[in-house]
Amino acid sequence: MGAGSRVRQYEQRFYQGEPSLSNTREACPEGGRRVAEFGEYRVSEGADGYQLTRGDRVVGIFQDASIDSNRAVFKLSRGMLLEVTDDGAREIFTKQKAGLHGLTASDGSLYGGQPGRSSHNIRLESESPELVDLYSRYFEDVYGRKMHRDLDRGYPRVMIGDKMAFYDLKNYGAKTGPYTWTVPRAYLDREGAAEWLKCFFSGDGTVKLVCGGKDYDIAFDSTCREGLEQIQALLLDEFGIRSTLKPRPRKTRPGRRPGYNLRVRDEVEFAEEIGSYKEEHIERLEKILKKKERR
Amino acid sequence: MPVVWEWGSGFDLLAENCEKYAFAAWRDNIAEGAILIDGIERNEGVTFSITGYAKSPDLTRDVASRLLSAALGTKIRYCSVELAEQEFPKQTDVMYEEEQLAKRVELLLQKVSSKLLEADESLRNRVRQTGKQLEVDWALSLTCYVMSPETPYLIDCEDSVLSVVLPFSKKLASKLGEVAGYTLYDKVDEPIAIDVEEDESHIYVTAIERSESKSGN
Repeated sequence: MGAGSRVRQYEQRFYQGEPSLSNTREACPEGGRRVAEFGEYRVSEGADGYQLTRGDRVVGIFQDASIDSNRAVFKLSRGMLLEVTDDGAREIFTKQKAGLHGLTASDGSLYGGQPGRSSHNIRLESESPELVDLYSRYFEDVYGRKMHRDLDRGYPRVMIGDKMAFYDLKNYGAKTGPYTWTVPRAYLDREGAAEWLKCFFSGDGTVKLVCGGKDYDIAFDSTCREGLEQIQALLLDEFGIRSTLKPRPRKTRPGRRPGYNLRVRDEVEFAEEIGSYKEEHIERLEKILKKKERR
Repeated sequence: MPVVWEWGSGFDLLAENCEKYAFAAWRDNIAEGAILIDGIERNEGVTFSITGYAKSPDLTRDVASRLLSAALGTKIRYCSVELAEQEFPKQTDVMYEEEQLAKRVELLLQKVSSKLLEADESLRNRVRQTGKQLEVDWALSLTCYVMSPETPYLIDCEDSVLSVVLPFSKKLASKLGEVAGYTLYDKVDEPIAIDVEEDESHIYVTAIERSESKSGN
């Protein structure tokens, strides 16, 4: 069903380049020039590209690789990368896929996929045309398809029916219903984390003037408390940015859900490390950075 | 709390889904339906809800359409419909004019400050020792009552700055009818500080009700 089991997908990606998934192919002793070693993994360069081996087993042969002293990163399909470090190997998102996932969590939605329904729609709607364009661009980068663009009551939106992309995003925890998004932390390196946060913030964040225009508040707003707690942890662990989570006071009104607000305490660091794609945010974040320069 | 529409579903479906749900769920004993739109104005981060009422299922579409028109331009997060056997409570006895609100907010923040200082010894000592002025960040919840020929509307807006929340509330109200008055939620039970920062002359405290903290402790 769908794009297959999570395990099978993992195997398909992880062993990309293998003639079979039996994991028995032995590395050729003349496998090319050794480029780097990370723990049990070795990267060598040959005529076919980069060969990644673990012990005497070939993990895969890749056309593209980015190698530095800390890690090697190999390009997989559908916006995924294989990151190899001394600690082991893991799949991570490209910047584009991280952004796509973050924007889906804020302003996007995956509709359909229920038993008996054939539709598998991916959409994003926003008051900010720049976010709609970004989503469309990232979708094309990751899945190679153009989204349909139109207007709904003046709001620009993009949408596409794509079963493969639908299940791919869903498998990585993208939002499939109201208030149910999660931060895909296991698939984010530092660059991916910054992009996910930047995209989510562009949709569901605010930069506003306070204290009569003398200061700024940066905050995320959502009805998903668990999601905001995950953002709070990611900001702190990856970037050292502190934040405070508080409930929005709500009059008891029939049909209203509780809401939450995550206020960023280190505004300058947020402006430097994360930022936003939303025009109104960019303008205000620049003022925060200028304020720092004046100090 | 039946949510009949959410962001991304297409605006044409909002009123349609309200009506469909109302016709499907309305029974003879139902006195009134409350249609609520929840959203956020994203430049200033003001969260809001607008509630309108319908006495019969065939009125729900019209009410929902008016709510939608008022909220266009914001992010409308979801729309819900609640049906009840008795009419929903609406106006309260104490309503303020717009001009009275600044004073009410001042009194509210004073109440929060004094309760915080009374309960929090370390904050009390810090204020006393430094001589700095205590500034409390406390989220305001403002309700605007709007009268129209069809139905009353209740607009609830939340933000910690009155000069932000009031104009936005008025902007929403202007699309629905005439403002009859405001109430400010001013109940303060047990405020706790969740964030304290200082500069040369101020101690800034972000406070919430203890009952709103995750553990409630």
